[in-house]
Amino acid sequence: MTQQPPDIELRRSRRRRERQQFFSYSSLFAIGLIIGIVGSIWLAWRVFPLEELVGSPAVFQQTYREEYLYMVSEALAQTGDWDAAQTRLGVLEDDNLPQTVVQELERYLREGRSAEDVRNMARMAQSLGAEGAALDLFAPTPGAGEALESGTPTPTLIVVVGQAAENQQGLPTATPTLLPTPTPIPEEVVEAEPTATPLTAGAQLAYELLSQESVCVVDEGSAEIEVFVQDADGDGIAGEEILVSWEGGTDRFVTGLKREVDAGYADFTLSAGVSYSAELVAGSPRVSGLTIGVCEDGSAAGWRLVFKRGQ
Amino acid sequence: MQRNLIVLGFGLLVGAAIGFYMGWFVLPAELVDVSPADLETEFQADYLRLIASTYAADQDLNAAASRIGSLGRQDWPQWLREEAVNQVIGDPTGIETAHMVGLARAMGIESPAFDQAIPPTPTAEPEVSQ
Repeated sequence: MTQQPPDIELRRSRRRRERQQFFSYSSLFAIGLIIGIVGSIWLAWRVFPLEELVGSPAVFQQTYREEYLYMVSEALAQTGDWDAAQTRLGVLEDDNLPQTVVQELERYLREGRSAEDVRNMARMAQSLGAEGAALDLFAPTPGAGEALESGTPTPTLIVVVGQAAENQQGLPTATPTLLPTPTPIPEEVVEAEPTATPLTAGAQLAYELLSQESVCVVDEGSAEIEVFVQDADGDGIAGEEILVSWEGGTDRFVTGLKREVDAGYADFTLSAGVSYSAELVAGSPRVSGLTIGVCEDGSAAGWRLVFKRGQ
Repeated sequence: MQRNLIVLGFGLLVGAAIGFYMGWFVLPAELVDVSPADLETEFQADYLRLIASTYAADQDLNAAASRIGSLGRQDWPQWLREEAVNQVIGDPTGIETAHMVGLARAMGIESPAFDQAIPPTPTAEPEVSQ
């Protein structure tokens, strides 16, 4: 066994110490670096941000963003205040807002939201100048709007007339109970009979009743009021709202949600022992006495009403 | 020992410089995915007015209560009363005032000021025949 000379041993020992010291310095520097980075990022974000962090609807979670759009559309429908709606929509800071609202409208349709919600959202999208297939179907059409503004409706239509006119003019919306009762105008009420009778409505109504007929229920189906709304050429019109009323209640449904049947088709399930009336909100004769009938084979019968837009 | 502290301090300084640069310029702080509870006071007040108008439309008190709850305010009854009163004072005939008062009353909140809210009247009045 050979023995190393003392100077070589000393050099090795010094190098070893230097290496250990270097690693010690490196470790200390790295620790300081990491603590410095983490600490200063925390300070930069939480304590000394360069810009003040403002919680606004622009940074809403998607769920709340959708909720916000819904509430703005409802408020717009209620107040008719387009300026306020624009301000509220503006804080969303959405560069593609019209398209966002149309997408929301399409989501409503897919989820089967109420006709009221769909119409309010469509109206807001239309006010934003949005375009889209869904909007074409469900936004108020100029023809319907004119009918709403100029029609001399039956007393039951007064509320709708008031709301539509005021919303377009940006004026406060009157609640139904606040409206004075208008001069009664003879209503065109069509008593539903088992035999269908085509009728012609008055010139001031947007739609005329083209036909009404009893429809036997097939298979396991339920008795319904089937409504077809057509334009002057006989093509279905989507987005038309139908007001159905009975003793102690009303409801609304809208055409276009069952496009596999027809763009202008909508239906409403009848309950036994209840007499219903139906009319188009845009203005049409009111068909009353719609009850579940009985067909020759003993099956239940509903009603099919066809409304056609006037020339 | 002193040399160790100098090295550690140098590391901290360099780290702080990198961190501040990153935190201010490269990855600045921004709020994302906030809830109504995170809204600024001004936005919360407007959100409350929206809740009131929506309640006026759908009359769904549970939904309105849930939406108010999402604002995360423990003092919501007092706050709702204050906002409704402010609304009455600012615009006694406004339709949003009517909505706020309606919501407050539906929540069981009252104030003498609410009686001063005048329901809006339609501007175009159809003829009335007796």
